[in-house]
Amino acid sequence: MDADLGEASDAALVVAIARFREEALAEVYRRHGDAAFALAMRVLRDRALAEELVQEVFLKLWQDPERFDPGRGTLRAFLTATVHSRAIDVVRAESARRAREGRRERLHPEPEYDLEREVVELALAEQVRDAFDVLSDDERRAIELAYLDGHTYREVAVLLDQPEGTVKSRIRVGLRRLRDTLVEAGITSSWTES
Amino acid sequence: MDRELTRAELDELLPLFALDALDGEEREQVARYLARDDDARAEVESLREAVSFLPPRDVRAPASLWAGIESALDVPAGELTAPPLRLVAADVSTRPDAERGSRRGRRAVALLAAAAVVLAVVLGVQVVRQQDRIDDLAAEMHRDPLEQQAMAARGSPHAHVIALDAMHGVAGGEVVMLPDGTGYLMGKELPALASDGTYQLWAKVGAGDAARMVSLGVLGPKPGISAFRLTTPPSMFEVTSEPASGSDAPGANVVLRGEVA
Repeated sequence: MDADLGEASDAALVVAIARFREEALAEVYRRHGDAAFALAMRVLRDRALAEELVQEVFLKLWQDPERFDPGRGTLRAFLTATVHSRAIDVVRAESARRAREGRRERLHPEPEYDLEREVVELALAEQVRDAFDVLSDDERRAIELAYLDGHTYREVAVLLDQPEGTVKSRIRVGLRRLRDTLVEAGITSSWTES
Repeated sequence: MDRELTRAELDELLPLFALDALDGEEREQVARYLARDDDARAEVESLREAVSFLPPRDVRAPASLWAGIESALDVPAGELTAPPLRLVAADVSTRPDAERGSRRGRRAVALLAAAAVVLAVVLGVQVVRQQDRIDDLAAEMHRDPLEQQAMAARGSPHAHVIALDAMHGVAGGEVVMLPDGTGYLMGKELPALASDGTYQLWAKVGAGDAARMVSLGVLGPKPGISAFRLTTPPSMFEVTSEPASGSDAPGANVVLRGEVA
C-alpha cells in the first residue's frame, strides 16, 4: 500500500482524501509533514505552537481538500504556504511577538542561519544548494529575515539598516532568480510530478 | 496608503506577497489584484513553490504530531500504523531451511508451514482488499482534472448533493454544490442527442414573483461532467433538451429535474 501510494500524484492523493481515505492523508503527511513542522518551528520558535498549527493545517486539508487546486501548484507549496501564512498571523500578533522575542533572547541570542542547510530532501540537496548559490549574501539575508523570521519587508529594512526600496529589490530579484534556477534545474517540476 | 497601486507596482510586490512580507493596505491591494489576475496568481504560486524548499531539513516532526492528527480525524482510524504487507511476506519467505533440520526441527517447520498457510490466506485477503483500494486510486489518477475536481467536491463533507430525477426513463443524475458557489453536474449517463440538439442546464433562483430560470450552460449532445458557478441559492435544477444553439429559456422537453432541499 505504502509503495503504491508513494507513486500517487498530489491530485490523486487529495481525491482519495476527499473520500476519507486516511492512508492518503498519512502519505501526504509522510511526504510533507517534516517540512511543514520545520517551517512552523522556524517561524514560531515554539514546539507546542508549531505542532498545533501543523495539526490544524493537515486537518483542514482533511476537511476541505477542495481548497487545493492541483492546477495551481504542488501540494508541498500549498501546505507550506498555508503553514507559513498561519504562522505569520501568529507571530504578528503583538502579544505573541513579545513572547517570541523573549524566547529568542534566551534561546537564540543571535541565530546564525545558513541557508544552504535549510533545503529539504537529501536526494535534491546538492541541486538545491547550487540553486541557492545564485543568491547574493544580501539577498539571502533579506529573504531569510522575511520568510523564516516572519518579518515584513519594512521590518527587514530596519533590521538591516537599509532603505525599504533596497530590501524590496533584493527580495524581488533574489526570489525570482531562485525560482528560475530551481525550474531550470528541474527541481520544482520534479515535485510537480510527484 | 491613500491611493490605488498601479499594475507595475503591484507586480513588483508579488515576491513580497509570496513571502508573506507585506502587511496592511499593500497586502490587501495585492490580494485583490491576485483575485482578478490569473497571471499574477500564477507568479505567486511559482514563487511559493521555490520558497517551499527553504524550511530546515534537519528538523523532524515529532511522532506525537501525527498521533494528534490521526486521533482528530472524523472517521474511525484505519490501519495506518500497521507494517507494510510486503514485510510480512518477506518474513514468510525467509524462514530457515526446513529440510536440513532435526525431527524436532521438522515439527517446528511443519508448524511454521501451517502458520505460513494461515498467514498466506490472511495475506491473500489483505492483498485483495489492498488491491481494491489501489485499483480505485489508479482509476482516480487516470480521471481528467475536471472529473477529479468533481469527485473531490462530491466527497467533501461540505458538499450539497442534489439528486436529479429522470423525466423520460433515462438515467438520473446529480448536482454537487460547494459553499463557494462552485457546482458540478454529474450526468454522464444521459443518452447522446442528435447533432442538432444539446442538453442545457438550468437553475431556478429567486422566490415568488421574482423566481426565474437561469441558464448555467449548454452541455452539448453527449455531456460528461460539467462545472458551473452559481452564487445565488437555487431552489431547483433542470436539464432540458434544446436546439444545438441553446435556448434563452427552458423548453418543454425536461430530461432531469431535482428540487433543492
